[in-house]
Amino acid sequence: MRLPATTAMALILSAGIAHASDFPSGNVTIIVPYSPGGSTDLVSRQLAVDLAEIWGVSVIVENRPGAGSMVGTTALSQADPDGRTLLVNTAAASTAPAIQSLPFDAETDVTPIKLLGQSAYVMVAGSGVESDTMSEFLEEAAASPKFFATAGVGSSSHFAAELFLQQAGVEGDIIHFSGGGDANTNLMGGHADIYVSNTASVIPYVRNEQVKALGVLGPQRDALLPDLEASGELGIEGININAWLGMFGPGGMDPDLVARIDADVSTAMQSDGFQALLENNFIVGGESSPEEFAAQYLEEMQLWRDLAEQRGIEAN
Amino acid sequence: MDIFANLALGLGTALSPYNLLYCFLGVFLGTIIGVIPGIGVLAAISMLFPITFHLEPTAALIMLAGIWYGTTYGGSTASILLNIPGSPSSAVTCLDGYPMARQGRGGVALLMTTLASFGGASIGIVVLTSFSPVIAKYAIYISSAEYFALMLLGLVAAATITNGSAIKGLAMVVLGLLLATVGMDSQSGAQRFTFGNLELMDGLSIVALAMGLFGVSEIVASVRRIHPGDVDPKSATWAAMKPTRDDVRRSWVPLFRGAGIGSFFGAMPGTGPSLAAFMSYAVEHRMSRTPERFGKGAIEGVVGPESANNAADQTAFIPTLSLGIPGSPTMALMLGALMIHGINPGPNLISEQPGLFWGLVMSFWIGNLLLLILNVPLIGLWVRLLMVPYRMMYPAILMFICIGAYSVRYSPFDVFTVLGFGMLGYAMRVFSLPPAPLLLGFVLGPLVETHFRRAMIMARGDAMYFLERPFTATVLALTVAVVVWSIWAGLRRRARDKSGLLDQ
Amino acid sequence: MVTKRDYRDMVAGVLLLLLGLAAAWYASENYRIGTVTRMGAGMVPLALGIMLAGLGLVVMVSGWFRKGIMPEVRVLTPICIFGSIAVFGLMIQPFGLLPAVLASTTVASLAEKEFRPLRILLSGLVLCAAAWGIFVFGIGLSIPLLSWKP
Repeated sequence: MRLPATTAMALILSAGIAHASDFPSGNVTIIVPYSPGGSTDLVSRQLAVDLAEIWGVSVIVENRPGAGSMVGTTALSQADPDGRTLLVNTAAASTAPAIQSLPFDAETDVTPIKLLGQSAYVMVAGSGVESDTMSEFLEEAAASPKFFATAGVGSSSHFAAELFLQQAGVEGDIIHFSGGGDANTNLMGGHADIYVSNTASVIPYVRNEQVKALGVLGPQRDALLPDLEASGELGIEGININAWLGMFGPGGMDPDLVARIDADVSTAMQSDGFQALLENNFIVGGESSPEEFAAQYLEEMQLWRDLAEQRGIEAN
Repeated sequence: MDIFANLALGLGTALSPYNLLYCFLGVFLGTIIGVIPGIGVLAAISMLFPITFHLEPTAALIMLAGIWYGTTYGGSTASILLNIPGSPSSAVTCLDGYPMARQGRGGVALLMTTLASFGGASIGIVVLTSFSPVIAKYAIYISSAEYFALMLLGLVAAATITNGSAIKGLAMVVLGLLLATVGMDSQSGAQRFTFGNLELMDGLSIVALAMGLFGVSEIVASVRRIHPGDVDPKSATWAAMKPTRDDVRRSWVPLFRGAGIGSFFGAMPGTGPSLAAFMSYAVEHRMSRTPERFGKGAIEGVVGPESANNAADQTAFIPTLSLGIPGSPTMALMLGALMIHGINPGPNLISEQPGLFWGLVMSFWIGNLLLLILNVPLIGLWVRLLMVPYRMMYPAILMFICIGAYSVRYSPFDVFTVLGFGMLGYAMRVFSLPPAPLLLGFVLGPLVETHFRRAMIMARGDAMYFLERPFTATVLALTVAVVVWSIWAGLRRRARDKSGLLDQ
Repeated sequence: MVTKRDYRDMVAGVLLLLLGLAAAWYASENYRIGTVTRMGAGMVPLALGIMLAGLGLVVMVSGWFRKGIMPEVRVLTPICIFGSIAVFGLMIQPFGLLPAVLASTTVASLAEKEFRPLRILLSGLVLCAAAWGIFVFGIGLSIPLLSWKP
């Protein structure tokens, strides 16, 4: 269920300035800016269970899907920064602002709190592609342009594909689908050819042999997926990004409060349920500090803004 | 393993007291949620989702699935009795169900929808059981071009869904498509027609649209017009629930046709029960020798769509379970329930988890049986609602509509959206413009546009792309045929009816 | 009342025509139209707007050549019913569920054209109880029953 605005208003009236010591003063809401059932949703729900135990209050997961995660993020940006409204998002948090005009400032109106996990961007191919590896694919794509599927306009898979096209100097057409499942289905049917996304949204289909993994984006191979060629090995420079999952709060949070939540979330992440979820999806748990995560978030946002400008990606 | 061993295994799993309890819980909740307008199945399942952490995966899925198909049973109740779609897929049931209720045949309508729901669901389950792998294999070859052609056919069929002029129907489909463009454009990310309003970023609420267009405008037109004497007290008795021989005779074929249409659309990711119900209605309207009865309480117009949306509810599990591809957010949630328990849905699910798969399939059948047992006695209760004087009823209906709309996002904006669509609905009533085609246009709008634009990218500018694909070309030809047929039928009708007052 | 021309359709046609043109104009002013292969955000709304305008024109013209019936337009009833929804929307967040239900029921009841305060109050209270029982207690929606944030 979603947070009633009345509750949000009550928070504004009653909370004043929130201190780390008396946190949490009541129930906590984690906004998931996607439909229920996806990997971000599952991770958040597991986290909610573990955090509820640590904090001794109810931790409610609220799905607010729409506009490539920006509907939920807008709601977060308008909440009170008392730590009782949080949000879990993917790298879409840094890609969507590069294309959408938003009612809030993505740099200052959200506070990056915790990197929950990182994974490689995996490139998978559907039945319309002959190649089995990325090096073969580069030749195939040079001979005939391919269709690159995305999970939606402005999603991390959209920008990862654009980055690959630019750095590899390959020609290709982008087609936007409605989410990762839809993109994978169209790969299976041969309606689109390539999908570049985080491990959680492609590995289940790779495991079922419905799509094939060609390689990973990055300077070197991924420790968890050592069999897959890395783009860096093939002489494709300038791709040094990972897919991630992170927790955010509203802008202007007290640094002590951020540190407190960071510590508690780190504890929650040690639970068996959470670790199993990470392992199952080939995600490495995040260890960086809130400051490092914030720096990564801002840096990536700049990267995607520059890319959008260079490749003429705009919302129109 | 042969099919009977599988079914026996499934039956054994589904009939265990533990699973049976959750099955009952699911269908019971589903019925209630379906009857109440506004509270959708997705909201209900999201609320109950945390419980599934603590259940066995089979029981969890059985319960969630029970809610899913249970709402479709309940959804038709509000449509028939109050002309408010309990869920979008039962909107089309309003068209003939509500007139039946006003004629004192509400009991018959409710009984027949319950039986049609059961029949449709049973056929859907048979399809699910026997053809799951085959359908799953071919479903992925349906691309955007085919989807676009199918939806275009659906829209054209919808334009002629009511007896009025086809031009007005077409205009309402276009208006529905236009209203559907409000919000973020899925292909470019641009915000269209939002005028800077945050609440519109994700588009207009379908719940608000359906309730305003049908429910509110109905109230405005009915206040002080419906009197206690209008409905025969005898119609609320058990005896009056019994369908006539004529009702039964008319219902057989639509039930099977509806189930066939529903099974087909249900199995395709992204289309779902609403489209199936509309298509079934359009087909029955076309096939009927007496199309003029439609919209005035034709039993076929109730039985066909209800059979179709229930069949679609069942076959929607085909892509979800056998490919791991959720066709709707609700199905994504079902997958989530499996993944929480470390089960990966995919082509190997049936062989790796036979107990779960066949147990679930058999639980559908038991669940539908439970729904039948649950709903038939309730009919007597529901029809008594019609005996309540309208002056006491309508404030209650309005309250349900307001709270229902508000509860979706806890947003007063959605209440005002209902208000806006209520005004539009009343204006359309005054101008005799049909609301049903608008609703279908709105439901299909984003899909039609998205698939069309994707197909054009895939075609790389080649206009022949659509015609080179046999399935697409066939469906497009069928669409043209429907258009020609409608125009011809309209001209013929006009020639017969010299008075020119036909559309009134 | 039968009229010489179908004025109802003619007015409906004009309204649809204007609506279609407005949508097409707004889309072409504000969104990129693009090419057929690479359609912009404005292409589909523009096309739909033009189609709606065209269909409106057909409805209008065919109304000219046809006899019609003047529809009855209600005035008081829509005001009360629409007002009741508006009151609910305005009151639900500042004052909570129960006041909103009570007020919107009262406004809706005025459509009956007879003012019986006691009966209105009574039915309002019954609906308040029902709203609490079904939505808050039964389904567990977190809507405050009473609040004060004008």
